[in-house]
Amino acid sequence: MTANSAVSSGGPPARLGRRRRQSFSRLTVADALAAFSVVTALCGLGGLFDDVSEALALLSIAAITGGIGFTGRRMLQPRRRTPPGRVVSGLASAWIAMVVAGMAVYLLTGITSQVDDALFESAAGFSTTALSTLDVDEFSTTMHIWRASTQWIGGAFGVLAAVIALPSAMRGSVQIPRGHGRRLDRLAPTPAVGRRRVVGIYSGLTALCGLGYLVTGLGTRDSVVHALTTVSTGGFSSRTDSLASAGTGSQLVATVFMLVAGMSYFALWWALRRHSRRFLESSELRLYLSIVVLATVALLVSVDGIPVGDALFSVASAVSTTGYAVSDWTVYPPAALSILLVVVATGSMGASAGGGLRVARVRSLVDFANRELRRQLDPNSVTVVMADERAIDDRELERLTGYQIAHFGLAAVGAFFLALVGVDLITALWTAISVLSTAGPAPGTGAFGDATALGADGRLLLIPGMLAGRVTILPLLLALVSVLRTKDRAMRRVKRMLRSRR
Amino acid sequence: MKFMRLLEARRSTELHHRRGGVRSTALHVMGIALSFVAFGMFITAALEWGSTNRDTAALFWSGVICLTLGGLLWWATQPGAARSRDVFAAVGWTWVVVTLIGALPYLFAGTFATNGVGFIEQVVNSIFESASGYSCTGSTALLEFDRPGRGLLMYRQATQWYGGMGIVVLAVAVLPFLGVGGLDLMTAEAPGPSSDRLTPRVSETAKRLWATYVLFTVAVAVVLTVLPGASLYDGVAHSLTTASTGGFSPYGDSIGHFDSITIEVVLIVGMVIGGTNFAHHWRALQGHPDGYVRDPEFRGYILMLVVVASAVVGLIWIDGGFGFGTALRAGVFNVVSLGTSTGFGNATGSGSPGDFVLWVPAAQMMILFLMVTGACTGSTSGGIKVMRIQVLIGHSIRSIKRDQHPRAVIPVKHGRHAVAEDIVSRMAGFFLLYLLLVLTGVVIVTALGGGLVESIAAIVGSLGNMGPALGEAGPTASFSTAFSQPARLVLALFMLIGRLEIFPMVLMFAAPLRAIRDRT
Repeated sequence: MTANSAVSSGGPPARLGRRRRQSFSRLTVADALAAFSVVTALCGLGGLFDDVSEALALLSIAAITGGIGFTGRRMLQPRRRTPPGRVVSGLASAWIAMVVAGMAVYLLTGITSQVDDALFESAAGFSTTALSTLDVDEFSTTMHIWRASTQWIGGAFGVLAAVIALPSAMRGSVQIPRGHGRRLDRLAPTPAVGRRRVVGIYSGLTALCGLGYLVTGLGTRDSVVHALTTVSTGGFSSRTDSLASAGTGSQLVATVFMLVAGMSYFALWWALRRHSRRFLESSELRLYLSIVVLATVALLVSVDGIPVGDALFSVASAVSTTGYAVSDWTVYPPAALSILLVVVATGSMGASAGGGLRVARVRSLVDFANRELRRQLDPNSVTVVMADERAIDDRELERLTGYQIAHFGLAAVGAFFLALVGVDLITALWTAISVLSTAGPAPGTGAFGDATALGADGRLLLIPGMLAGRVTILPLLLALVSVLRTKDRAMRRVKRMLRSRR
Repeated sequence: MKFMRLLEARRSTELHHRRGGVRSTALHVMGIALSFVAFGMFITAALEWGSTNRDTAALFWSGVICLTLGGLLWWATQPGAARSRDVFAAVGWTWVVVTLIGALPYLFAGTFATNGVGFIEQVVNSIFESASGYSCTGSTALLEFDRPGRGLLMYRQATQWYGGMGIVVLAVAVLPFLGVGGLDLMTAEAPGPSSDRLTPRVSETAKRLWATYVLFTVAVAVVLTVLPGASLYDGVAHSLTTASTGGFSPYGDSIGHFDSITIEVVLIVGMVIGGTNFAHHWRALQGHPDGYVRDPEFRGYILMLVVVASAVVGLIWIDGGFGFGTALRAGVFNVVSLGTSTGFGNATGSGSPGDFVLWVPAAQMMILFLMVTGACTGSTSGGIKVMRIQVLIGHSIRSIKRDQHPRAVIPVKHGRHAVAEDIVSRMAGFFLLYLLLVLTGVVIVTALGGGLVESIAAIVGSLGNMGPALGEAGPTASFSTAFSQPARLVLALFMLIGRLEIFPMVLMFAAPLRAIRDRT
């Protein structure tokens, strides 16, 4: 199996006499739908003891998606060498397929009759964005758990994409160790083993988190729901006030697991293998924790009377891009808001379930800017930008800067379109940044992520941003580039026409 | 021109006939610049004496201090090394000192000594006003425009003219003259052979650009006085801040004071010209106007203004509840004013159509983007500049293409020219530094008590040398009510950082630090 097919299972070898079609994209879609169907079926089976009509709806969708997914897995096999563009388009297609299937669930179960609301809720789920238009008080336990599961699947999808698929397809764009091998900085010798390990860590963390919630008295349903949405950095809650009314113990559990969820799976793997030195020596981890400490101190200084726990919780929620809240942080003083915005934009560590620019990239960008500053003094100087004792080559830096500039550009375009549909300036800017970071809440939506304030048009505009935040900005950028190419071609045609007339 | 000749003479003296005295490029340039500024103080003192005669002494004694200090520095020092760090230190420290000394007339005249304003706040406001002037930003801490005399208000206008000229001179002439420098950076950013060197000799280039600048200022003054019938004082005052894309006006309601479409049209044309590369103007004067059309940056600049102006007019016409004519007038004027980083406003008062704080969010968002973008390189405007934006878009698109075709050799193009990799890299570095400064600035200003929308717009506006911000610091408001004293000082610093395009202000500490390190 090639590196690029890491997210796809690859399935058993082709049987003699039956040729399986090679397609990375379709196989990834099939894999995603298969995973979706399994989770939905489990929720449906559980729902038979809760709400039969919803359970039947879930089981029917599970049957359809499972049929497509598992058939696809049998009929398809990954390409030996998949170009990066195909990997990205495969991931984007898989995400879209899951969102459409999720939308069908919302509509079929009667949670909402509005297609746009169902689409938004599903996209928010699979992108692990904590924005919602639905009243969670009206949900059954089954639907609470299924809705949280969408974020859990979305989180797993994001981690697998970041740890296995993208690094090998787009070397350098995600700053984590590259390739496969036996060295300690490699998660696994093969993508299949890597995938198993990632899913193992992810599931283990979910179980531990759920146990923590249960022990601290959150209740069974809420523990399951919040465990699923904490480890995935999703932020959906079964309560209208997120975790504000939860006990201090549960809030502490949430804080710890949000911070862990925002850590690199490589670092977590090293910690599990008891390579504590390597774990502690990770410069990205140290920077990540420094950001948490500094931002918490800054919040304590800027918000009068804020408890330490609340400040740490708000920062953990922002840095891991989860989106939980224990208090209405939108009424904090502007200084605290600006700090939270910077933290949300920076986001979590690379190769984690969180989103944002990622700590390692931000550090590299700062190092790059510093290098250019030094070059002003001595244009002939040779300065190398390092990341964890590894020199980042110029080509990698070039791609990094190119992508991050595009990231800022997309945030600006997103903010403009939100403003165009009437969202106020700060909410538009914040929401665009927050959605690209897969966090969600903004001053205009309130701390608990009520997306109704954005209007139907605003919510639809956010969906591409959610895709960009969860998968990568590349699909959106490719779409923009193709628009520019079309424009160029049209201009050339017009010029040719004018020339011929002359 | 005299300034340039003297500077050149000093340079040749340094090369061929080294004499005694402290060798410091920074102190030497500072001395020349202060002497130059003193000249303006004396002229405006004379104007004040001949008109309102309230602040004559303040201007005169400020000029005396400025000239004494400048003269001493000039004659007691001689240019030292012209390494990059020395040049950055010279430029950066000169601007800081000129800003501080430039605050003296306001302080001596008690311009900000209104009820309840203490001495410290007067100092802060004076420095803020001075920084806003020399950096051509146009933000103001003034609340009572009737208080200063006509001479002092003209001095305030002249600071922007110095600033606009200063940046051109320092960037185009002085720094290359010293070996390396600001416009060397900008020229290096230009694709292919430099389009800004009008002649092989830098001093000649500087002279020509100077001539263009003066001619342009005079032309705006004449047109303003003759065509719409503004008074000579108003014509001259506004021509100084139009040519420099500064945006100061002797009136609290800026151009809204005149409520004249003709004046606004003249200023729109003036601002567009001020935001264009001055090298093109010189070539146009020489009978080669095709430089404009050939320059992809100029085309992008005009396209940007047309598209944004159309969009804003459409938005405030449809959603803003204004009639088409009103929307057209308010939209086009403000877009051009902010797109060229001038900062004039045509609001006749709070709540009038020109008060863009009241526009729909999308129109305000466009204004915020304009504050970042700025106009053309080689002009007197601020912001990131259109050329950098164009190259950075190309850079991002190349990154995407490279993922599809990893082995392809894809140059970043500006027009038909491929941009050298180190220049692309430098521009990316500049952009990232710019963003880093915006984020840092917003956190600092909000921590010092600024509102979020005001702080974002003020920091972006200060770095882009724009002038008015959004929210409580809009075109009809004063920064002294919207921001605390320390926040105003931070904004003043950001204005200088923006005007010098970051590098000189950030690197000006390199030479002194190196000197200290060498000694220890």
